[in-house]
Amino acid sequence: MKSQKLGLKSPENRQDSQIPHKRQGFTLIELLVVIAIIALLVALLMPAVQQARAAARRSQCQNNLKQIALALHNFHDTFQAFPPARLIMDETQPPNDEGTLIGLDEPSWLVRILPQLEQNAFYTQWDIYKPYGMHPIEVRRQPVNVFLCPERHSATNAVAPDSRIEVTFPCGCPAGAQIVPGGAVTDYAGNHGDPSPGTSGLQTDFYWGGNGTGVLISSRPKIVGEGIAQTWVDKISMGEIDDGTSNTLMVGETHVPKDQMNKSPYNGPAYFGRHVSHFCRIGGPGIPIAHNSTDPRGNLFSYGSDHTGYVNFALADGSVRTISTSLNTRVLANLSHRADGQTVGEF
Amino acid sequence: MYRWASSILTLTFACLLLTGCGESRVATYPVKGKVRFANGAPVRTGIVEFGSEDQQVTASGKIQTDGTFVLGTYTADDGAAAGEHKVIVMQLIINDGLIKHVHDHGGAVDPMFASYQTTTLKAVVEAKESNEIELIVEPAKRR
Repeated sequence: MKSQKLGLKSPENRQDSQIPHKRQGFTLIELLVVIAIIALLVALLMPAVQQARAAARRSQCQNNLKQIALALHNFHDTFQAFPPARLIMDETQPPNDEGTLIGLDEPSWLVRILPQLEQNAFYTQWDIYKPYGMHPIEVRRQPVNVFLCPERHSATNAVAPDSRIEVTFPCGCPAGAQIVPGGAVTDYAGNHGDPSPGTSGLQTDFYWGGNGTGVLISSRPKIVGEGIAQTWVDKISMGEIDDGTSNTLMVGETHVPKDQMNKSPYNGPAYFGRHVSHFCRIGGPGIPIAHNSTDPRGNLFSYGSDHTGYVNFALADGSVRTISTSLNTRVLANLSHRADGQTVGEF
Repeated sequence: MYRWASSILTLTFACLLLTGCGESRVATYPVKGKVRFANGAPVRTGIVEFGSEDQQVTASGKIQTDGTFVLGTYTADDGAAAGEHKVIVMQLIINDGLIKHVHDHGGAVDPMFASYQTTTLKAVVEAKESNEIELIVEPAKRR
């Protein structure tokens, strides 16, 4: 009787009364446990993902250095010398009445190797013997991806603005306001040499024309007519690298403190020859590689990077090496000097 | 039995992962100090660097405006290797006439102290919790 009564019920009703146990959802505890397990797995995975991303940026950076090294070798094939870092007179030639030096404001080595980096169209917009500031703003502000380390810059964030900056020298002296015409920046620096002094005995002798002991050095301009530079005098060729191209640095990464990103003179316009720190570095005793962007020992002329614990370098033979930031500075000096006759220690 | 073996294997693997294949590092001991001229005035700018005589490492520290410094080898302040060191003081004082500016760097140190070949400064770092080292330098002859 009972069953018959039940049987009279509509099929829907019967399903409702029989299946509730199977339709039961997850309890809150079950859900929380599952979510916790997933969170744990993600947390375990995160460092691995971050490491993989850092490794990708590292190899991108190394690839950039390889491209720059190949471009420099191709430049050498064409001109029988590496490009000058920039043009500047030697320290015995005083600045003229306007306080300027012939060639000083002309474009840096990065502009000279543009054709070798398949940037021909961009290169034709430059006149390498015309002051940087006289070039159109669109030209000055165009970044080149190969000149940027992905750990620090992307092409959308690689321009130093036109600025009036309060310069402070490495000795702590305020140098007053400087007007810097803005432009695209770089994370790579030519090896200008070690800090061995030149004729005047000052530690800053290195940045005058012809004094650098590295591979991409400031060179004296060859002047024709009324203050017009025609070519450069201090030509560094493979033959000048007496220590061997595999024992000499050519291009490395720049040290830039966190608050100096895209600011002159640490990280200023890379095509502007006036400030050697925009595109060159030195290394040796007293100028160690900076450990990171907050290292108090880092200065305007030191190598460094935003990688953790290492800096990538291209050597003059075109090979790319990863070098620890704690490198013995005596070894760093031997690697930086192209012809000191010293055997290079472990690096 | 198999369970035991697998857990031991996992443990070993985890230990290997944790220790990694780190570079061999020289033990370092905390060093701080002060650089001054013979007349007592502090050296106000530059970098002090200790080059170990028997280890392939150099430790360096930035000179503060009161002449004090803290040395670091693998980080900015982890100290220096124990033993004898040659010491240099490097100053990058820009005075090229291109930018007229006020000099505020105090006395300049004789450039002979900036090179390991010509420096006369020496120091010994002991394997203990703190080392305090005073360096006395001569001023530059002209600048």
